[in-house]
Amino acid sequence: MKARLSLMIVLTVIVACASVSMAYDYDNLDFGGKTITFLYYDPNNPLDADVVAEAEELFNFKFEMQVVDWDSYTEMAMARLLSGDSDYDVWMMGHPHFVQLVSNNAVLAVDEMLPADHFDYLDPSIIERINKLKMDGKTYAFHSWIPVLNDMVFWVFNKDIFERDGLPDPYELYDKGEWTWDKVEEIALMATKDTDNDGEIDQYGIGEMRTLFTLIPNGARTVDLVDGQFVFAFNQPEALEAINLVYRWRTLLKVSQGTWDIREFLAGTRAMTGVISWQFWTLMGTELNYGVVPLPKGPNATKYVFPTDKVCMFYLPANAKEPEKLIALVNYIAPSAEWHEMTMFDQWIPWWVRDEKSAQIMMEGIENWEGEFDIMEGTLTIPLDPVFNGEKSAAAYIDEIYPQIQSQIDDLFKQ
Amino acid sequence: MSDNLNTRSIGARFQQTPAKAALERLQKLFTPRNLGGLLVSLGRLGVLIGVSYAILFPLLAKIATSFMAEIDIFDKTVHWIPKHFTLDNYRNAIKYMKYPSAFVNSLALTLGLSLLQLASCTVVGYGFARFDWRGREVLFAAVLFTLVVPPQMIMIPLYLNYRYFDFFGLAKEMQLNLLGTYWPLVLMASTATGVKNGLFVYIMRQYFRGMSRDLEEAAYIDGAGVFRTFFSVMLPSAVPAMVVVFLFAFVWQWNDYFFVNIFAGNRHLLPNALAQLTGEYSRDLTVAGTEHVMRAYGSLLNNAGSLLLIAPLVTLYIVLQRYFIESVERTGLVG
Repeated sequence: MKARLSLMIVLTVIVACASVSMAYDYDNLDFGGKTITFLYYDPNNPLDADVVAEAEELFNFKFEMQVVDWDSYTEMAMARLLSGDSDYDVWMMGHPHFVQLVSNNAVLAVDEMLPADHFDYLDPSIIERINKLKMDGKTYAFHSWIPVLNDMVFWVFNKDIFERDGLPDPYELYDKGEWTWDKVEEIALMATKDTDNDGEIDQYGIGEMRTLFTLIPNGARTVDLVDGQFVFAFNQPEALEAINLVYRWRTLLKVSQGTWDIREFLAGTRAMTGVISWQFWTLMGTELNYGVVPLPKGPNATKYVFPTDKVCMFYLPANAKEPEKLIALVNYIAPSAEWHEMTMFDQWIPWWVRDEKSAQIMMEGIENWEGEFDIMEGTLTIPLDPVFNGEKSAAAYIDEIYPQIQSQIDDLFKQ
Repeated sequence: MSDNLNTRSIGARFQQTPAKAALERLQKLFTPRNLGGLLVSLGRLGVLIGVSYAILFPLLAKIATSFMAEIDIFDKTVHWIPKHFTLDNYRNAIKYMKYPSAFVNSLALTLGLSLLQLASCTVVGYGFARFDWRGREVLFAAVLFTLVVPPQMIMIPLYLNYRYFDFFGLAKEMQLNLLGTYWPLVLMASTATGVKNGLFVYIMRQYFRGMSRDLEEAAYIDGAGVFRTFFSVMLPSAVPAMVVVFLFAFVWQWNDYFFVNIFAGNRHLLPNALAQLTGEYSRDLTVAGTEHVMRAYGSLLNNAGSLLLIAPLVTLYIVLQRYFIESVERTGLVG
């Protein structure tokens, strides 16, 4: 009986392994010595050099990483496509690049090329990202090298300031479901003060406020998809609330003041601030005693959300030759689902946080992430300064710029 | 009589106390006229200090942080002077940028391109200044227009041009791929279309236009041709403007990353080495994850690398400061 059970287990493992290798025909993967160029926007090569070297030998190709800065990425990709140099390219890019390139028919739809079980071996967050980046029902992104946590947006608070000023515990408020804009405003008002009595405010409740921190937590977004067309959605009530909150905290109540690089929070002069996860690499090197909670939810939200700032994925250019082979190669080189999980749960979170509760909240963020990100974030610049400065009301100003922004969106998506 | 007067005035002078003398001197100094001048000077000094501070602040901040250890960045009490002074950032930057070889390559390339730009822009500037031909004004407006066109906008046509180089349309069947070589940079410099070359053409054109025609006409009467006149008569008089153009060309070419990255991104040059600095450093670390180098250390490393990149320029400026300022003044670039 025992022997039979062992045999069954062994057979199951063999079948499982076989199904993994069945997804891609690695035995017959040969590029005939071609150079495969990975176009990337960051000089820090995120791919495992040993795996790449192994793949070069196994699949007979030469790996080349071409680095181009973020702002020139789209032009470089387009130039390579137009010159015909991109037929053996793999594009590693952010969603703003993708949006611009896909609307110029520069990116290859890969639905027909993906093996049936391609998604079985991907990290769930990658599948969410792939689905969110579908355009006209077509799949373009097919893998990623970055764990979703890298670009997730959180809210951090300085525990020392909270303790010293007797401010309510954000963890308790979070647990009770009361981590809301109203509560955060109350806390920010209490925390904003002149600590050395020189007549000037030197401690603010909140660092820099941006719509990145308020739109998605209030169920709003920059564009809606209506009958297959992208429509500017800042005139919706939930978006106006989100914009008004930034104005209220920044200008009206003056409880928010700071810069994008959270330097004021790092200097210990802000009680709270919104952060994008990669900023934890800086935070973790400090002596600051900080806690992590989700972005406070707006009146229109039903639950806490953990939006991401950027979504960076692998794509193929429209003129890719042997796309199936290139997809298989990327699948071989890209980090596995296990690596994504291990990196986030066993490395980054323990390194980044100061206590168990923060770790738990981050893990919840990853597990509950349902692709919350704004495709227009970083793609479209909407100047909201007249609202934030108090010169115009949000509703009036959005009405004023609506035609101009909508025409930019139409141009962008060629609709 | 005059002896008496002299004796009296000398005596009166000796009778003055030092305080009285100082007061008198002050009274003379603070006449309404002098006071007005003094206020203007003080105002000017204030503006100069303010502008200098605004210009120098980022450089000084970079210098200060390049000597800091990572811990100093997060220490609120450290503003300018590091508590943990270190040269490690420079050591690592020199090592991972492979500084000596990158320096030699960059120097050779920059010198060569600057000289080519100088030559081409001088000839083009002279052509715009001294010869009447149809479309001159339109073409010159186009030259000026190149100054306001962002390089990203012309990236695709430039890339395609040098990817399938056909000698500017002269040999369409013989298309060469010049990408990954220095040829696109050399060709651009030789045809006055390199980095900021529109400005250099403008400077040379303005300078030649400001020169007297008498010299040229005298040369023509003596039988010199166009080239002889240009090389023997006009060029020697245009040295101040040429120095300005050469210095600007050298500085901009040295710092250029955009064109160097597109056309010669695979070459070991200082701007490329700086862009890849943290990447190279991270390859030596064994930490898993996409963010190998802590961002704070990355910024320290980049600060040290940037200063190493501009160090030759600063040295050049210190050595040639006098020529630089004189030339800028003579070419009329300043009011």
